[in-house]
Amino acid sequence: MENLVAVNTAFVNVTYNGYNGNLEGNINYDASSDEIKNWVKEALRTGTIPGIPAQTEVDLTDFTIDKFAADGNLPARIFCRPKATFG
Amino acid sequence: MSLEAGVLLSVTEEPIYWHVPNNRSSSALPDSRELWNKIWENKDKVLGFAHSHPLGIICPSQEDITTFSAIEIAIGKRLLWPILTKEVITYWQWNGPAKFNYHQIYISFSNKKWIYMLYNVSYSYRFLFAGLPPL
Repeated sequence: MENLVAVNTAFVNVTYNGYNGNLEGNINYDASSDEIKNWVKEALRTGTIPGIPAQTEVDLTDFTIDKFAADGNLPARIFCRPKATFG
Repeated sequence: MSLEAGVLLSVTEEPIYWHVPNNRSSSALPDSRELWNKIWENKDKVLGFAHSHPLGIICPSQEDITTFSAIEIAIGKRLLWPILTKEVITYWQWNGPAKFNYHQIYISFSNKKWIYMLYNVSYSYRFLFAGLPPL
């Protein structure tokens, strides 16, 4: 069956508390940074990211969302990482 | 012209990565995915990240402190955060209890070469020829 709405999806890679893993399933590439952070936060709390044990306290306040569109053989991908800005 | 710069340090007091992006200014090192990747790749051997403050402020800025905290949360360990001005180098570390409670600590490195190199990439080239200042 043909999809009525084409959704541009991406995988999400997360680094937290010394662990790194990908969110299970892809998400909408066009989701806002706040939406993505909320999904990541929930996944970290519940321990549903393979490779990252459940986290009792999750703080993504100063994390940033990097988005990379699909390019050649590489799929669209999103990274949730700490900011690295110095003043 | 003085420009901010940084260096990622190993637990053996050796530079791991020099951070001198093209978009740096005298008051900022803009967000850098490349820097973050270097920190993550070296998380098992990183001691900290030193950066310069060409405007002379010896304390970390609010931008610095929120970055210190975010990076430590991501890698799951505390780091050392040296800040180098033209006159002095200070060392900062979290000692709590609140999230942003970073305080100055007093330590000495046996290997000071990276301090001089950070000085040179941060401040006017003339210091390369005029001799290094006391640190």
